[in-house]
Amino acid sequence: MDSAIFRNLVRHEFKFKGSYKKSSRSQAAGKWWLAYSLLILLMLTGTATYYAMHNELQINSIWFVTMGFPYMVFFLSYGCMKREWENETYGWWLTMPYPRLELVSAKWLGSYLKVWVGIIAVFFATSAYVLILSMVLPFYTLESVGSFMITGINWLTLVAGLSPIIIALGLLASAVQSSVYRPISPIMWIVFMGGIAMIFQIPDSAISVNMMQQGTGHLKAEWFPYSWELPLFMLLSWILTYALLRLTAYLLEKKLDL
Amino acid sequence: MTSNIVECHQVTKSYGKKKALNELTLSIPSGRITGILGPNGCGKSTFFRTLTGMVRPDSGRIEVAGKAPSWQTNQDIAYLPDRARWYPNHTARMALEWGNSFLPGFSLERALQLADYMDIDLDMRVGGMSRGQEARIMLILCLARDVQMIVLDEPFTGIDVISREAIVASLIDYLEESEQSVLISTHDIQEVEGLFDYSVMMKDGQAIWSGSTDDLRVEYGSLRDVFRKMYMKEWNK
Amino acid sequence: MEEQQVGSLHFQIDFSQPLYEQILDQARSAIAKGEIALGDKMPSVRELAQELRINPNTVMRAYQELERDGLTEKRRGQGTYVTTSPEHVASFRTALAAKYIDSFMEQMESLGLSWDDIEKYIHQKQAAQGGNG
Repeated sequence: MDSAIFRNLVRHEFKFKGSYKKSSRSQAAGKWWLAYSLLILLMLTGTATYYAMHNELQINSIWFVTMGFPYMVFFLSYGCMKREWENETYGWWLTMPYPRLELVSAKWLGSYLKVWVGIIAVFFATSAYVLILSMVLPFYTLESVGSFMITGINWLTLVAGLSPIIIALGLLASAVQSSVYRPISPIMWIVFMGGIAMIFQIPDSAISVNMMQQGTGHLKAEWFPYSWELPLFMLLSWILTYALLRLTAYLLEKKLDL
Repeated sequence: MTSNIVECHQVTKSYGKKKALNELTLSIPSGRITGILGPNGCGKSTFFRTLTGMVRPDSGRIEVAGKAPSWQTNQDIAYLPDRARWYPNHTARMALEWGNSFLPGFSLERALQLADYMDIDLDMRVGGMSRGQEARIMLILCLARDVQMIVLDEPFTGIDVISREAIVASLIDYLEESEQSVLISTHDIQEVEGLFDYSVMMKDGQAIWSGSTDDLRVEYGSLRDVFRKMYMKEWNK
Repeated sequence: MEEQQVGSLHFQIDFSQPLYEQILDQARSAIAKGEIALGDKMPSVRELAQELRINPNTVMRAYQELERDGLTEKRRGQGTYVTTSPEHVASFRTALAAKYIDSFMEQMESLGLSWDDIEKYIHQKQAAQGGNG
């Protein structure tokens, strides 16, 4: 594997955005999309602020939004390969003279970097928001901000640690749809979606009950509220990630249905 | 010594019940500009896709420069996919830089010359371009490469007359300088029939005639006449 | 079929006939007739291919044949020029004329005509055209 090529591939995937289908082709459509996103963000912040002003916002529960992250990560990586077909660029992508595993891994790493950018942005944006609340509203203390940030790191660690396999699943789902195994797609979708839902349904074994309760504000946040199975679980998922990437590469090399 | 750049022996590829390639047997000499001609759906694109290893035939044997197609052999092939588009978020300059990073034998200098010649605004986003402008950029990505074989799948389809002329003109310039083998598929031979010095006529997944285009002219007249005669059924549909 | 002018040469390309022979024949006759003067520069292969929209390899092959005919010569780094020697053109013209006569005679003989008959036909033709020549 040529490391310069791989670096460039990852950079290409990382910067890759836009679609002929979704945004039509005009820049005006992009502006509308931005306007709507800002509007939704404003409404969310507004609602949260309203409840905060009435001392009814359990700030740590903001982190429950991370439960939606695995799905977002899945669709991010699924779209990352799917778009080669939607944009009709797959001919260029597939005829690049590099190992299929290298192409797939570049998409994987590009997506993972995007996930990290998202995680860091969410962490700092919400932390800044809560910090402002604590300075403006007497109900919230600096201590609660600290607790909020620790809880955030706990939740986001989970997202960061489990994203590798979710990304690999997204890529596999996309590759299966372009392969001769397309008929099994529906079953695969049910299994994957259900599997992702399970991730946050395993508090008894991998995540301590503690952590779920921290979100409701009953307990002071602590570092590493997980049980010992979690690191093991993550490690296993990373090994499985590699296997899934190999499988995806195999599908692209031998089982494409174009 | 004249060798063949492409050898196909009884290559079959089916999609469901339809045979896109039906025991296609064909040799294409190297160093020529070969036109792969025939109506839509005659198997031209499937044939090209088997050359690049994207599609694996159900049976039969294919060799490109003596090797079975795979991602490795694409190192020596510049391929313009059929109905291809370019990444909409790229500017023209980014597209050329993409070529420079990933395509073996790519010359950025040559690509920039071609872009200048074809009147490309390097800072324009591909997403905001006309189909013709986009087609020119994609052609540059193929022509700026120093490789054994160039494979262009329907490069003239769906683009404006000016882009078409720019593409034909730069093809001629390019061909004058190179010794490469060029394969061009098209279902519309108007204005380009003088380009091909070797022709393959395809129909229903088979090569029904192949040979030097001048021999074809002696036998049947102009390529347009050949189209009219050989594909009468398809034209009347 | 439209006539195209490339430099001082005229071409009329018919895509239902072999292209190589058309280019060769039309370039030959242009030189033999003096349409392009002795020592003049021929259009470059690229120029001709571009104007006629044909494969440059075909033009190149025709140019190689012209060179073998002695009608043109390649100057290193400068391109192809019509020969400066009137003798070359004259001898090529003679050779071509001989070739045309041969095929003419062959056709006439295939009609069973004698020398006298042929001569008579030629005189008749000459008279019909107003006696020039």
